[in-house]
Amino acid sequence: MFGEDALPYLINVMSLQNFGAMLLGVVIGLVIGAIPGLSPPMAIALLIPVSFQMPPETALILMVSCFAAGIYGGSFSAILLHAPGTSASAASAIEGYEMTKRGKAIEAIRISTFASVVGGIISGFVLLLLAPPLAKVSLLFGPSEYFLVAILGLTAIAAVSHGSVIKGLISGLLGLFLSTFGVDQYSGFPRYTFDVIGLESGFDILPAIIGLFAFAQGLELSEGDARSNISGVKKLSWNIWPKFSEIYYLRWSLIRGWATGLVMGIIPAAGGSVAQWIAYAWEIRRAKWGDQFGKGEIKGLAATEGSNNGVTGTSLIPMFVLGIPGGISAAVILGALMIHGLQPGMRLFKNSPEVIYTIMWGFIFANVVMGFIAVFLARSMAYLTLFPRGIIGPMILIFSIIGVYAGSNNYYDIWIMFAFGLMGYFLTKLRFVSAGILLGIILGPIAENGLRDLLIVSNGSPVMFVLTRPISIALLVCIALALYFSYKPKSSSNSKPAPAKKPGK
Amino acid sequence: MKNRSEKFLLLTATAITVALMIAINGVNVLAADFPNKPVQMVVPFKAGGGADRTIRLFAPFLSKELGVPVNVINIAGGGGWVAWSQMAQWDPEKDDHKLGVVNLPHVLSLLDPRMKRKETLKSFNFLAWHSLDPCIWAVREGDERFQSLKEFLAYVKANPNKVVMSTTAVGSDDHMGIAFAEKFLPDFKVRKVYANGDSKKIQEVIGGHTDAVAGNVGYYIPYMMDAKLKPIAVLSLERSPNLPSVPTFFEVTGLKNISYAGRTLATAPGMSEEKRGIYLEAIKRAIENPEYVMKEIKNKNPLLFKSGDDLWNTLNASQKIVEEVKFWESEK
Repeated sequence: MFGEDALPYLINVMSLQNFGAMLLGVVIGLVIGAIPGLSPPMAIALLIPVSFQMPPETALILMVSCFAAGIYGGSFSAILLHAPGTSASAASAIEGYEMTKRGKAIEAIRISTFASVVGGIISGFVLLLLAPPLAKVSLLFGPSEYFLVAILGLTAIAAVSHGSVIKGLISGLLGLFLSTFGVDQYSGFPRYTFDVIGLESGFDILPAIIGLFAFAQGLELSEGDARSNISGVKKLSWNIWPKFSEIYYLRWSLIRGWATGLVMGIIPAAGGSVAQWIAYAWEIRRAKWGDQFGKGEIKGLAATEGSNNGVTGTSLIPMFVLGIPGGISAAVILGALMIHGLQPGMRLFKNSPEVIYTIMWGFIFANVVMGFIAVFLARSMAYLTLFPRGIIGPMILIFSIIGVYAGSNNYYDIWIMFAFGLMGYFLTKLRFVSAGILLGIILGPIAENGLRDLLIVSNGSPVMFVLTRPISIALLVCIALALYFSYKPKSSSNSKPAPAKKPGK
Repeated sequence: MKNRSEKFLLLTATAITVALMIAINGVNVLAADFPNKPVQMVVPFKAGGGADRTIRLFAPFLSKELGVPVNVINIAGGGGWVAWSQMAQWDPEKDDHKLGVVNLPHVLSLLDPRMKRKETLKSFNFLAWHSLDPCIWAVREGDERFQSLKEFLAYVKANPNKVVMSTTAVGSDDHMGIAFAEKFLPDFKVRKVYANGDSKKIQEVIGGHTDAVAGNVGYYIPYMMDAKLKPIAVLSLERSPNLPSVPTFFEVTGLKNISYAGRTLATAPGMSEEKRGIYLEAIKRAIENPEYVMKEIKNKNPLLFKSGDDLWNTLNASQKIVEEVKFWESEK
């Protein structure tokens, strides 16, 4: 098996330079990830020239560490300030920030850290032990599967619209409509661009997410008493180490989150930004009497945080084995791999096992290191929630603008961010969910291109085509179940009311 | 008094030195202080892509030649046009410390009447050609139906509209090669699925979802070495030195189907010949630096330096092909 090949290289991780690179990568990742607008792929791209002089495995450990920590770092700002640092942490902003508002910031960070670190480690071991066979699975995903994955993701709208499904669907449709802006790759036709160059590539996810979540939140915080703080408490509990009772209570939410992440990682192009919503919606559909989804339910946070780091390791599988990156970060890491003279593919495992397995072990250990660093960082970061709104609100507004501009050096993106920010602000006032718009924007292009590709490869008869493909059928069943549980009368799940027992602080 | 005379001496000495330097260097005095601050290298796409990677590899070598730092900045958006519309407006004095990457054939989308561009190729002050990666067509290794362009074309002819090809978006180099074949090769009828990057295309063809893929030599070499893809044609007039056994489209069909992904470097329109010359010389030396060449071989990005008429001939030839193919008419 592959595991035996990997074991001898475990010791390489402990060399001073590899460990140093890991530490550096984790710190950079945490910081860049936590700042909305600065994304992990950008950080990794900027690290490539820095890594020229390093041996390939050290350079790659630096990058995969930065990747893992970046996804996790994004959750800090999502939980504490409702300003997701990465697109993979947007769902965590919903329950996480509600917890912060109720003075439970440390509890939220604690669960986020546990879910992320363990999720990352599991994902790393799957990468180490099962990469070649799982890469074959990722090849099975074609147009019909992409289309159905996107539809499955869209069913999450019904779940996350807390209360009014109609309002949720309206936001989802608005998001889908906005996702059609820009030059159509099938015809080159400029759709809704109004001859404005900045609209030709459509709405990028980054300005949309910063506008809808961070900027709208900055506006919200700028209302009301400027001297009050976000958390509503004067002191935070400093108990950052997770308790066994807590983990035991959340065990199924965590397992569902990790499983969703691991599976979604293998599918090229789906990644963390889709997995979190599927995991979150799954949790809501499993809701028991007494759960408070939308108002700071810790189960929801455990699932979203477990899923977005569960994705990280497995999303590297198609990249290492086939040279097909599953997401933007993986694509940048692939570029770094090539610059260091390593060709992705099975030959990499045969010819340079010392390099590839050292990188994989490095990824696993980076998750551990990340947990320890985060524990110390969390305390000082959580202080932010004790600051007066009058300071935090305007700071978020300013960082939103800087963050968007830093990503693209493009003024149009700032205007786009403003537009999404105002939209998010007013729609939230009217009790619409911004998450619906975001889901539409993220999944719209995957669904549209998947459907158009499907119509072409099936030569105009998509239904028969889909029904001959096992994975497509499995996805159809998932969609049917998701819809059934979304509309099932809540009373039937109340037959055995679970005691609303929560682990104490 | 003493102090003043000292100052006077110093001034005189400086004046004489400067005068001497001017005398010795003649016109080169301008060269001595140009560039005199960091040069900005504009990449019209986000950090992390192929163009960004190459330019970040290139920047330190160019910096060594110019004697000032070269900072890469990414101005993303509009498929490159946010940056390109700025480059066409650069001021020859105020923006003389800026260089920009212009990608071919992407910039030729200015010919598409639907985009209503005011720029033409002449709007850009092209300095030098930097890299050129010819297009290839490839099929799955071991596909029994076709393992050569001849077999492929025969199969397509016998089974019109049956073969599905993966390509990048309409207007891209990959699409241009297919559109050319559709226009000028009788009985060439295929279905196409479009992607916005190479990874989706490669996954589709290796995974058996489509039958063939249009891509570029450099990017696809690893998949050929891994025995996943079989190249069947190179879309250039001469065979690629990287794939000496693969025939060109021209060899097999007699049609000059030429398509490639290229990168050029441009500077502010109307910049003085002197400053232009300094950049050009530095770019040439940096591109020929063996250390840089080694890095790009690993990066699988084929370098190619061209300037002046040589560069414009290639640009005009590409423009002519796009005008002939009129890709905006091919998709209804």
